[in-house]
Amino acid sequence: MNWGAWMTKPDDNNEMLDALFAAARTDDRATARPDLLAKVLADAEALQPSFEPLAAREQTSDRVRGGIIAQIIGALGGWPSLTGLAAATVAGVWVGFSVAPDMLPTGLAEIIGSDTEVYLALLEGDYGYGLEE
Amino acid sequence: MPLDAQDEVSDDALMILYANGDATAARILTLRLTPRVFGHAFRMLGDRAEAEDVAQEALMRLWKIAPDWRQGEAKITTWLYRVVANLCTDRLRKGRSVALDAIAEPEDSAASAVQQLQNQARVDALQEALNALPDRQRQAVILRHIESLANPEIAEIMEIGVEAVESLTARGKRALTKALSGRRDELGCMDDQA
Repeated sequence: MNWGAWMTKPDDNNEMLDALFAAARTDDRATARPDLLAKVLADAEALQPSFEPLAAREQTSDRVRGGIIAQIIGALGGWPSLTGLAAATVAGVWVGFSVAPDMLPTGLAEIIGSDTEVYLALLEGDYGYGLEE
Repeated sequence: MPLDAQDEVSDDALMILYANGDATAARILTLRLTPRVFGHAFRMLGDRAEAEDVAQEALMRLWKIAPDWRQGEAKITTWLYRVVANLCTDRLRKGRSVALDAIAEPEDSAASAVQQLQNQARVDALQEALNALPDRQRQAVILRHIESLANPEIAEIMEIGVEAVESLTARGKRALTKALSGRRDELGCMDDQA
């Protein structure tokens, strides 16, 4: 750099400033030191999002699927509650069929209350079931 | 990603890779961006320790925003220059704590010591004059004349028009000339001693 140039041309202020700017561009003190680079890289690595490998992700989703069923059972109170719920459902169906036959519709009473073998056979035009022997 | 491909990959692409967990992208971005961020902070503040803090903080913000980075909206360097400027302004408002003469001397060989001292004296004189400028003038002059950015990019960084950038740099240069013209002999005498 020719520092004498702007000394000998005192009126040429642009040249003086350009020389100073050029000196600033090459100033070692404006260079990042290795320890700063190491700190920044450590931050970058610490804050970098990480993702599981694809195989691991598939296993995880399998576990999640199994987990949903387990969660539903858990919400109902676990397996003991679930068996109790099933027993109550069956009992309700039985009670429904065990009421006095005269309280049932005629056709249905014949089905469950007589020795006659009847069965639902035809779907009639009015969408009612016809009984056949 | 192979390291030898680093020069061909854009900052934006590296950000995507970084957000996807690519360790090499983290390294390349660090090596590519830290010198620019630190250099700008150092010239804005004139203090190495504070500039290092600012650079680390600015890049920390970049790492945190990486998963949500919107491609194509702004250049990463433009965003970083803005963050650095804001951090520097905050520090300058709190008061400059370190004088220029407290800057650590670089470790250099004796052979180039005289030349180094000359350059340091000139750079220090410039930095002192830069520090006396209003923040926006200083930022514009540094970006244009030391970091050699084009006016449109400076306009984007500073979120002003190109004409406003030209005005800021012109006023900044006038103020620098006024501040430094009285020190020509002082700085020139050192050159004579070389």
